[in-house]
Amino acid sequence: MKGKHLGELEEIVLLIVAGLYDNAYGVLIKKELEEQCNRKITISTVHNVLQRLQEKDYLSSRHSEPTKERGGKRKLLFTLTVAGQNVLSQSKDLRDKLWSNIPSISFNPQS
Amino acid sequence: MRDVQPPKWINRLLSKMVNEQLWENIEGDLHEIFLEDLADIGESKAKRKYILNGLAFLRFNKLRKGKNSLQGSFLGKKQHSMDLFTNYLKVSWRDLKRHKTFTAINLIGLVTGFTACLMILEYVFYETGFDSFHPDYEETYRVVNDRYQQGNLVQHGTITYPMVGPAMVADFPEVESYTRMTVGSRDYVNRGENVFMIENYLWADEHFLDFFDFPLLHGDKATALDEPYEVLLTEGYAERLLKSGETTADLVGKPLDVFGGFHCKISGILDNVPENSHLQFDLLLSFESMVERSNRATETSWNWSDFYHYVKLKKGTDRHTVEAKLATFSNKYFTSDEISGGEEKFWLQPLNEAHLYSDFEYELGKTSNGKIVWLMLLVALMIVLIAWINFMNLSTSRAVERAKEVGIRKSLGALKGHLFYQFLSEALLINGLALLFSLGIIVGLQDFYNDLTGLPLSIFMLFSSSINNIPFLLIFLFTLFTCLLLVSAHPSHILSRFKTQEVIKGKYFVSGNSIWFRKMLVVIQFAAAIVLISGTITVYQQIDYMQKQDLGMDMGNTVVFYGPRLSNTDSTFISGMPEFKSQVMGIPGVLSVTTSGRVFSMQMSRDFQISVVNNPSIKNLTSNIMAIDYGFMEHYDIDLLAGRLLRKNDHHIDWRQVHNLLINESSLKQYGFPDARSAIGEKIVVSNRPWEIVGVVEDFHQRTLHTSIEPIVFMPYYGNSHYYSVKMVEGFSQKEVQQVADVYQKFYPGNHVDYFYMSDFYNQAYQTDGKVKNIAQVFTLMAIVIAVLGLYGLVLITISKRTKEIAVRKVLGANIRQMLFILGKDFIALVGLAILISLPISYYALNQWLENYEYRIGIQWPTMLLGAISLAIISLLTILVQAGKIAKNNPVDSLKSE
Repeated sequence: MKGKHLGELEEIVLLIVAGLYDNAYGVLIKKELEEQCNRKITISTVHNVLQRLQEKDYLSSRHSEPTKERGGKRKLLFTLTVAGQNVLSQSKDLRDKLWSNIPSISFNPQS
Repeated sequence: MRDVQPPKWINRLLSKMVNEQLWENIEGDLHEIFLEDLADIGESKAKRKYILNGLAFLRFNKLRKGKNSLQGSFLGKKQHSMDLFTNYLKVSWRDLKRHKTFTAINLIGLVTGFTACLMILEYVFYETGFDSFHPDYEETYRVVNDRYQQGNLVQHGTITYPMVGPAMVADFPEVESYTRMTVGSRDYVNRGENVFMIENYLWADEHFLDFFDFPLLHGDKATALDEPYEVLLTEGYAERLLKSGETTADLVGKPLDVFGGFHCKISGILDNVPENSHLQFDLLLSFESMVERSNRATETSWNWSDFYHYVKLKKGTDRHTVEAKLATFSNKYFTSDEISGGEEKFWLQPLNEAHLYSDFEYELGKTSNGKIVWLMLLVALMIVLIAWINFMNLSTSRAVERAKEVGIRKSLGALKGHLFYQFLSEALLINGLALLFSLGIIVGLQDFYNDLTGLPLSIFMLFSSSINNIPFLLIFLFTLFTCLLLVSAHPSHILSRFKTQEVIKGKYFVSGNSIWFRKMLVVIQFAAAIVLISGTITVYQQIDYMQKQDLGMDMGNTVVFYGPRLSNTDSTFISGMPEFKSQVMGIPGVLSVTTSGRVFSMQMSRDFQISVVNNPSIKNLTSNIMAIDYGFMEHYDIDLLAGRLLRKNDHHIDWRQVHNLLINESSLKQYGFPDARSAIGEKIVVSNRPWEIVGVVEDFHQRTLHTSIEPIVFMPYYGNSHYYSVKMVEGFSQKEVQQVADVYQKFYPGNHVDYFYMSDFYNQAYQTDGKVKNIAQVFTLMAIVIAVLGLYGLVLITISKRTKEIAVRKVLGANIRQMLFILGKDFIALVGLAILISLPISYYALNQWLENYEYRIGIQWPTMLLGAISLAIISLLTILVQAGKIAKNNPVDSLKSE
């Protein structure tokens, strides 16, 4: 099994959830993915990712009040757990470190 | 706004399969997306997307039910159940390979069944999907009318009066819009020097393009049919008119001469008319041209009935509420009807019935017979039922043979449910294989099938269509799976009743109950096959009957030329006729030449105001009118009953000087003449002036045998649109036809020579019947194959079970004949029962079909029995061959194998 490893889509979803702060739920996350990342994705995939992230303890969820546009159904709102925040910053640190290792010549061979 | 809800069934399905804790949130999200889609892409697409989005959830194990609990599932851990499933498949596969005969029987049966069923479904979907591409098709209706005189229906037509549409929109708030059109017969268009024939065209009004969805490729939709003498061409027709280097877009704005005298302008190019449109045309001419040509008579006329009207009702209007008001509407505008004893009844025919359920006269659209479509659907269901019954019977029998394997599985801890899964997986395997094969066969045979039916069918079309927004593919797979569940439930049910030790010891029986069930299945199967056989035989007989029917005339060896439309019907034209005829007669091989306004099988025009001069009480009668040349009756060998036939001097250059006519036998009654002789010399008023009846001819079938013979008056006159019939000697060749064409060209320069063979033309009207015959034949053959295969399989199993019994009987001195009797009598009883069941069903179905014909055979019991008996003989042979083999065996061989 993948263990606690964070996949690419998982990471993006986690970042979006963090960005939406208190208002992160399925349809909104899907929209953000479409608008910000230009990725077409089905709602079921979003749910699946959210479920995985919850199992890895990176997300916690709670129910909202029922709303009319959802046919009277409650939303499941997601927030980052401390573990989630940690894994994101670890991943950023890792990337920063790898970026800093790139010699400028590898991007600009001519200069 | 109406509160649109997502489809409920999908919610119900998902709520059962998705993890219950997640379900509320999923449903909420789906609903939210649905509401947005509803605003963006409309109700039907939003619903479809909702279903797809919902089903996509089932892809993920994490979101499905049963991830954390095993309750309600006997499969245990998923990993384990997959292993078991592969094992089942492996065992099934080996078993299929080991018993090649049974696998073959099963496969052939199923493949034939699926192929036949899907092919018929292609046809049914095509026919029922006509005109559905128009966006408001559910709100669109055609105005049709029944015309009564003295309480008798004299016309049941689609043609009404030019003011009906405008008046309906003005009078009824429910009627949102209308369009009207009229249709012409085959004619010519000229582009410069070049002449092109045009067969399908309409005069359509300025609403036409908004009303229907026939997209314009080039040109301005808003003004394309506004002005007089504007024409639209379809892309396909326009391509014929192109000069080198031109594209169809270049034609817009170019002049085009239509019908030899109208100088028109091409105002746009239309996309080709879809095959599944009941309106078919290559050219549209603006209705304004008709208005102008008629000196604006179309704007007031309530008696010129040549116009077709389509109206759209406001969404949600019940057509019956509008129809209820049409009686008052009729009284308001047809005030003179009161006096004449006539009555106009208007109805609204839904657009979705225009193709399949139109029994109207003067039909302008492409029509087909709805009854036949539904009968075919019934056939499809019967065939697939037969195929599955076979499959069920065979797998039950096979299951018994595999009891040992099952016993071992059971002793190793298999539960009842496991057996069910095993049979299900086996059913899936063999049905899946069969489906694959049959899809391959359908793709391969599609061209052949399309030739047979004359329709552009395809399997891809079938699988991309939907019923009530549910994709057909989904329905198909769902039905297939449900049926497979049922089919596999039976054998597993039987097997699960066996006790493990007994099975392993080899002591097991099939209970009497289940044998009875299997026998019933065979009976149903046979009954269905008999229905199909007797159906095919009846179709054959009806068609044969029509072909052998005495039509009352002889149309053999006759070539018919289209009239010289581009010449004027003036005095030179009329006085030149005798010379033309004599020149044609001068050609060696030509026996006779004549002209007529219509030829056989064509609908004639009618006069509704005929009266008898000497009997004022007989008036307002209706008769068909046909213009003929004086030699017409002799030419076609139509017999005279009384009086004389027309003569050369009955014709006159001045139409007003023509006043002798002939009537047919069927007219006598309505004019009140007791017999043919008494009609001679009587005068009747036709076309508003008196004519003298000089002769009565025997009835002949001017139309086809689908309709009855109606009253006709025959008037002697010529016209440029009349048909020129030329009768040749037996065995004539193209050479004679060409010689006639040369004379024609000489007399009517500038016209195109075009001709057809009279009998071919007449028989075209029976083309649909011929196709039904071909199709019925193919599918019946398929059904017989399946049914016989099933019987064969069953006989094989029964006999192999009784091998020992047969051997013992043989040892004790039974001869082959006795044994065949013992083995065969059960099956014969089954076939007998099947015959009894099938008779009432065939009777009903065939009566439905035969009602399409005015001249038809009655249901013939010998025929029905013939079907049954032929099937009984086939099955008897099957039994004999198999039983004979066993009975001839040396009994020692089968006895020593204990």
